[in-house]
Amino acid sequence: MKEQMTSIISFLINKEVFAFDTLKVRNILEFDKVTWVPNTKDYLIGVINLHGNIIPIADLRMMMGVENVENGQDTAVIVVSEDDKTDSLLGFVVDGVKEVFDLDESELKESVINGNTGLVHSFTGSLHKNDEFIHIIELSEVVQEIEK
Amino acid sequence: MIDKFKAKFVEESNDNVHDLEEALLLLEKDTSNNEIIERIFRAMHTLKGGGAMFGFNQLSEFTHHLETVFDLVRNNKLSVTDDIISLTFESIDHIKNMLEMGDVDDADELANQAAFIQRVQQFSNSDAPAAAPVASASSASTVKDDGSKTFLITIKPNEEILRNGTNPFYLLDDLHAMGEAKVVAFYEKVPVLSNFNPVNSYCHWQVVLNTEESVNDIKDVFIFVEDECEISIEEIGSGNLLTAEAISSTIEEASKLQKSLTKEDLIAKAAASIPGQDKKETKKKVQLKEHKISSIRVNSTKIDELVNLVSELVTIQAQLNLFAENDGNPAVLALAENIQKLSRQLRDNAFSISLIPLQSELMRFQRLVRDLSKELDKDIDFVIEGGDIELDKNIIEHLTDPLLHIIRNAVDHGIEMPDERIKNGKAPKGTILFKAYYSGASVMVEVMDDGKGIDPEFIRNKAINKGLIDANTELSRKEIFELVFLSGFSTKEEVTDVSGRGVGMDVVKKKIGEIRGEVSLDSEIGKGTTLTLELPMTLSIIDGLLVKVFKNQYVIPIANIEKIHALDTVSFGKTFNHVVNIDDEQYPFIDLRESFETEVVNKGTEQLILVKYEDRKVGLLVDQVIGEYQTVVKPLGRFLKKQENISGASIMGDGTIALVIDTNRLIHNNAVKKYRTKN
Repeated sequence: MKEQMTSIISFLINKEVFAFDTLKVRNILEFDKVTWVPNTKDYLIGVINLHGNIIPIADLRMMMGVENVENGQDTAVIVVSEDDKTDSLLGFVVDGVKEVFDLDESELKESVINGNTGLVHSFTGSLHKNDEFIHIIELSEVVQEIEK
Repeated sequence: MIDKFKAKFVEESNDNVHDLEEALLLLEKDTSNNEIIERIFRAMHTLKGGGAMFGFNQLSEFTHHLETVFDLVRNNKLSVTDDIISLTFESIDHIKNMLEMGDVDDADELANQAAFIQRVQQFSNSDAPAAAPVASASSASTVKDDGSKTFLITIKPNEEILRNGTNPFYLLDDLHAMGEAKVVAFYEKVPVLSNFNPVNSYCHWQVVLNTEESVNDIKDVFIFVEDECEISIEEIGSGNLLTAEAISSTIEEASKLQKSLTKEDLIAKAAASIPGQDKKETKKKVQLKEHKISSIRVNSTKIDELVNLVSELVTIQAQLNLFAENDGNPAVLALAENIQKLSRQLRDNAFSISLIPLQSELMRFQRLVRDLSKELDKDIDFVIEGGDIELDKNIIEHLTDPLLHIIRNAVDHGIEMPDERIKNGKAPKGTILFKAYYSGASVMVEVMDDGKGIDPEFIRNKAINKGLIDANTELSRKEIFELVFLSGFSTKEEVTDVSGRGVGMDVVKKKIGEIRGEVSLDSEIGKGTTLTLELPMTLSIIDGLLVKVFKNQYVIPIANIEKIHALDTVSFGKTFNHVVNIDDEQYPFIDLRESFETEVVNKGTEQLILVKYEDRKVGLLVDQVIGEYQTVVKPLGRFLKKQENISGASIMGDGTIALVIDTNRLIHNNAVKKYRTKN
């Protein structure tokens, strides 16, 4: 663990549960129309207008190698920012947002992921809760990948 | 609190230093211009006074010595030499340092300063008066000319002056301390008792003062009350005129009758008692309170914020318009229209606030050219045209580095040594012309030198040597000069101290590109080189044409658009070659659907937009032209920087997004190699 986390937001991708550090999350939106930007990577599906700011949207499902992504009622956009600058706002499309809960560090174990997570390689840790494994994604790595 | 004042002082002093520098450069060209000398003196004086007030004591002391030198110059006791000017330039740098660091107590630094002051003092102490002292006082004077002068000083305090604890009597005491003084008090403004407010001041004074001190020393008395008083200091003549009968009786009479003394009156009286008094001397009139505050200083982040807010307002206003139209309620429509008018005005105002004249940046370049040419023993004139052209401050900020580089290049590589110039039949003095002007929605900046120019063949060979182009490539003249902007290209064989510090013209191009500008170079051997920058006036708002490509809306800046054609007036040439025929001319074109990699849904109803690209025209094929649209451009953010075809995004009235196409980049990326035209 690099830094202290107090709580996490869990979400679904292809029926598996992942999570972000709550402190990095700025907004959760319903998935709506996205304006596609030409000549960009496939998983960068476009930009949205959030309170007058232009926010790029990345499909986290596509980044993680999910084939046949489908948008349903629960599909959501989690807007994150590593620092507080508008420049670093970034939206991730996920299959659905689950819950916010406090994290007990002692519950955290090293993530056991068997390869198939696409462009997302780095995890802060995993925990077992209510018969589910929740993998916490290291945001900075994902952001770096997008910026590449 | 005091830190805040200090910061303010430093900020203002930087302006003064700036002014000083500017004046000094002028003085160098016209060493006997009294107005400029006066201006220099004033700037120094303000620095000195402010420095002492805000705890920059070393600055104040140093400036005092410098001021002394210029006081001599001002009084024609010392003439302006190159040495003085050079020393003053050095001093200005020193002052800048001192402003940055404040008072220091490092021993080395102090010794440094002392040495510097000594150098300055050399000028003021040298007793050989280089210029003939002005023969002002006539010898037939009945009043003894003892080097003193007589002044008429008028002090008119505001009514509120007492409220901040200033006692005007102390000012009078100070004046008395400087020499012989006669004071006339005017109290006709004092109201009847019932209207009398004891915290207000109703009096004003006139003082006839004979002193050996200079006008500036008199001004020093008022340094803290400048804003609360109307003060004028007028010189009546040399010598102690108070001893003259006519003058003292005039003063007494004025006091009795409550009649103001005037300079003219006193001079006339003085002249009557002193036959042959030189009247020229009295022309000098120094008024402290001569200008009203015409501008205020605002933190630039506040302006950025204002511009952002206005941009938001414009967006929301567009939404309101849309709503009002759909709603159809005439009252709402009228309101929306009014708000539209207001927000347009507000927008124009806000944007004009963030525009600043180029002049503000040019001073440092003038200085640069001067210093560099001295260093390289070259003789160069830096001429500025269009310094009043205004640009967005963000653009100007981005412009400094590229311009610095361009001008350095011109001085170092462009202009030849004087003897070489003479050999080539040119004037020994080189010229660098900086020219700015409006051209459509852009501002053009040209830096032109009359130096040796660049041989296109040389560039070509060098590019071949460096492996940048193939030896067989056919290139137009313009294209050859473009090579200079490729990375890894630097024309000077050896790296010199002045330019060629590892950054080349490619950096210039990149920097200018960052502010959506273009840069080009042209040169003629033996005649000189011209660098042209084309810059947008503001970064955040553009007039655009809204078009549709596949499902998305895009904005093309109208400034770049030449003409719009419906497809039926256009006939495609050999389509594999991407050329269209319009009115018997062939143009290359880019199918946006192709370059954006989208589906083609409505073949046959497309429209072609002819846009300018460098010195030719290129067509852009779009699905549909929607209309004209004025728009606020928002950045796409760092995650989408990689793609270059889109320079920003704009939020439409209904909240959807239209992307702004950077046509120059688009054409460059897609086509520049394919569509090379022979020329």
